[in-house]
Amino acid sequence: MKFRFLMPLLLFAAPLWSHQPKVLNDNYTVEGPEISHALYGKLDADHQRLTVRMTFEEPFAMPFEVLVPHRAELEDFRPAYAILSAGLPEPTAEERAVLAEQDIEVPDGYGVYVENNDNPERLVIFESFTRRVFWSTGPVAVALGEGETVVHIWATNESYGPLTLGFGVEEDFSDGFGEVFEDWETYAY
Amino acid sequence: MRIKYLVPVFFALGLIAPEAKADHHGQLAYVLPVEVTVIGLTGGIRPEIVYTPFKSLKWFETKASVGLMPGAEFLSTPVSLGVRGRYFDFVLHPTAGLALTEDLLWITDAAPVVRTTMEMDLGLSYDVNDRWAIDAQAYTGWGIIGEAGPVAGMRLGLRFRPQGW
Repeated sequence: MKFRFLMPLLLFAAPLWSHQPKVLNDNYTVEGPEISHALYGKLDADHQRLTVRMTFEEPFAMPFEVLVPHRAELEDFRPAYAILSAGLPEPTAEERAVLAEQDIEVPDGYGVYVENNDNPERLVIFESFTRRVFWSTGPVAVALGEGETVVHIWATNESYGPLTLGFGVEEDFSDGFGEVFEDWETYAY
Repeated sequence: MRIKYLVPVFFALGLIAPEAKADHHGQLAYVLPVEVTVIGLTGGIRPEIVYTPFKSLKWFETKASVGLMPGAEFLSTPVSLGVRGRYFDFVLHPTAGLALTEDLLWITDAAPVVRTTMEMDLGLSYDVNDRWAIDAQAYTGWGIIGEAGPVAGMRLGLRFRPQGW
């Protein structure tokens, strides 16, 4: 084979994936939501809910997941989340009840996707770029409509802790790693 | 007698045995470092056996180590093989090494993560006396098989060379 000498390069063909890391505050607006993001936030007694807003010019199929560090003290920390978008199905009665409990209103013409994060079995993932292990709600792809999409994440069972919201499809580090090294503790530990 | 056939064997052994003994002098060293990884926080010990294979290349070392390093999210047990240069005949030796590491991460409720990383370390080794030295190193590397991604850490330890330097 003529190019057999290139075969060692296959060593470097391991799947590469990562997310643009940012610190998630209570009310966060995402620029360029199609870009793969990892938003690092924290829920506590004073911050019971985090809200993320993003706008699309056309319908977009978007994967989401919420991650919790795989630590013994966070075993009961299971943040729930809801996605509100024009492209999603009407909420069921059960979903309406869950959202009402959180004082979340569904705007006219919007549908929802609700993840209660109450499945006893949890997906465990290894994030190779930070060399960390997380419990995941499991990635789901949802069909978002054009206009604003709102994601609410809230604490359940009065359990609090750090979490990461992962979403987006395109890798883009054109603006560097931003705040990563300024706030290393948030991302790395 | 058939024993006569053993003569050349013993003769050959006689030829190499004194040399082997001389070579063995000062070839093995043991390092017991504490180590902290700064990407994926873990901390623990990573004992290392160091072997100097060539008498004429005293600075050239081969090394093998196994770590036991618990962290908040997993237990890491890296197994490593590599080479290192420990330069100059002064009491303070700059060191530079390269190692292939099987980075085994054990997770309580999931299958272990296995990835192979290539690591490079730079450091200093200070001879306290004829047998003991203090080693300090910083290392960084990259996952090349399994899961791509960086590794980095620091280690500080005692080096013991039973036969002296």
